[in-house]
Amino acid sequence: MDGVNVEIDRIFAAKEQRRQALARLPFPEKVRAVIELQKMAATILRARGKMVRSWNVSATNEESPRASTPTNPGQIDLKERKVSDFGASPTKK
Amino acid sequence: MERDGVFARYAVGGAMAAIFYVEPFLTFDLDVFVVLPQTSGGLLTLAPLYDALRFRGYSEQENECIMIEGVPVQFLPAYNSLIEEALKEAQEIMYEDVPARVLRAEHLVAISLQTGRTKDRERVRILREQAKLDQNFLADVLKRHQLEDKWKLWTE
Repeated sequence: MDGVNVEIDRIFAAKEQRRQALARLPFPEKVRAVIELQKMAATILRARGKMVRSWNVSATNEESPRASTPTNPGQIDLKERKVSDFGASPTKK
Repeated sequence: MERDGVFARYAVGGAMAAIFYVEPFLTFDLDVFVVLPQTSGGLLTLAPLYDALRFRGYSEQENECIMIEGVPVQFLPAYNSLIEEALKEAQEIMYEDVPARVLRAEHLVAISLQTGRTKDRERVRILREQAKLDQNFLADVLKRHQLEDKWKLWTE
């Protein structure tokens, strides 16, 4: 049983670490992540009759990483990630 | 528009400002707080701001939003002393080589406490968890705006 708990602790610690790394992403990359989340959610919300539209920000789709925030974990490349990796909260602002 | 005097000062607030400090989460809005110049009658009105945006070719959408470069932007006038202070002390950032301004994380916490909805509670939680809050600065803000009790209620 202890072995399972150790494994669970390790998984939760890794999850927390990844969330902290996402929080440290440069802001333009976060905006790109938000847009990907919007695209995902829009399909579901539209099916429920709620009209929402994802943003159409061309600058955030550019390849050049003109980062603005001072810290960059340097480990997370959003282009390599699936949208589901962003861990959407159910918040609809 | 700030230079043109359409508004005295602006800063990004709401969910997108929070995302500047924490992990990305789902939102469809971009809230921009503005300090509006007072009209002769002392009224605060967003009409001159909307006119200036229309003049620049941006269209008004439903729900009081203006579509700017593919993003629905909601302009909110500074409606109390906390928002005015938050705007005054907002931090300058660069976004894709464009200067912008974002409310401080401590002010986002205070505004969430003041607004008091369920999603504000969630925002306080995530900001406490992930943003590097200046505890002394936050304590001062909470004291100044009588939000200490709410903070205790939500965090203890």
